[in-house]
Amino acid sequence: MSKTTGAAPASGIDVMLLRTAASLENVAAGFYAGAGRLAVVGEGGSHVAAFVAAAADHHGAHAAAFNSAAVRAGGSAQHNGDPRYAAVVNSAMPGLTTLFGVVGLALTLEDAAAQTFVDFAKLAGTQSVRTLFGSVAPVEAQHRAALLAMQTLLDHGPADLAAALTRPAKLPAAASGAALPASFYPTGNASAINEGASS
Amino acid sequence: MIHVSRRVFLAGTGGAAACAAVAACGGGGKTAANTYTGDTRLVALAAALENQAVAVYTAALDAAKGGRLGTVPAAFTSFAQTAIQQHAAHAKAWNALLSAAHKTPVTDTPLAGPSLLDQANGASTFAALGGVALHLENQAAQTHLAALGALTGTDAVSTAAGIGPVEAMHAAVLGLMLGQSPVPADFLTVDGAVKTSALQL
Repeated sequence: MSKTTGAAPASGIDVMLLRTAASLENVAAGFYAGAGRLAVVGEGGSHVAAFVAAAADHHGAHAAAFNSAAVRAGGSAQHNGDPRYAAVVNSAMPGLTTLFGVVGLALTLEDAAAQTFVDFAKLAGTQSVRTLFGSVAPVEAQHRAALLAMQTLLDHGPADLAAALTRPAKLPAAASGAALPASFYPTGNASAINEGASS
Repeated sequence: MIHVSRRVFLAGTGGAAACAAVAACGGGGKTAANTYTGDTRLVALAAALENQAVAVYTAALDAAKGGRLGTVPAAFTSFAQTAIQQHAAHAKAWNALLSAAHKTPVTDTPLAGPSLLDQANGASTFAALGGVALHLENQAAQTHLAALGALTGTDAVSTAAGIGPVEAMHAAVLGLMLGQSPVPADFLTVDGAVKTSALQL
């Protein structure tokens, strides 16, 4: 922004943040919906299938919330996917033949969303938009924690993952350690504020 | 930067004499450094909650090691150790902001209401202890979200934004150990957030 015009109005920045956020959620919701139809997801047992279904619902709800907020801020809803991550998913999906691969791709999307929403919470121009990002980022972070634990449990194969999730008392130490990698959620890989804002 | 209230400014410039002349300076023992208002009150509350978490997990590890919780998931010891480190780091970050605002750091748990440490010490099974820890983490995550919406200082907002998701991740892992869903809700709310009125400072 030039010095003569000053900073963009809060609503203008917020619309950009919210449309990019919605675009990320659109990619995540679509990914999980597709993943739920893969046979390899069933190999992880009912808990994994339930997680995938719930994540699809969560991301759909997040997209709706971000779009509603974008409209309230004077913008329009974003129904397209974030171009960067849509390309990642489109490239990877045909080759997803293992549950480990599904979990890995899910982790990429969840961390991208969490980092971005933590960053956007700091950048938001209005309290309500900041609070919205603050209410969604922790949920993406929880998705990531669960996936990190699953990824560790998958080291011994899908059957071990399914067994571990049905016997929580037997959850190994490595699973909990892997699920909590940092004291503060990082934002180094957050998306640019306009990454998914275009129509 | 955390805003400094007018009351604090007056107390800082004239010491006890100036404070005595201003009705709003508060009761005995209160100084500018240990008077928390606005952003500093939210930050002090956050620091107190982090200290509470460290105390609860420390007690939990002692109880698990002493065999007072029955069967404990193998994952719990490493989880609790990590949680202690991370909550201590959070407390350090919050107290750094208090120090920067010339406020006394909060190193204990001056909170009104039922003591989660007492509840943890009273637990005789992992399920009971886990329930206390899960409540603690959910409460911490929600309080950080409430703070995120109320704080005005850039550094404090940034700190709240980076900590809340980590408390939520702790809750997710506890959920796995308790046989519950690691992600039970689509949005974090503030229904269970601790209010600043609970801070006994």
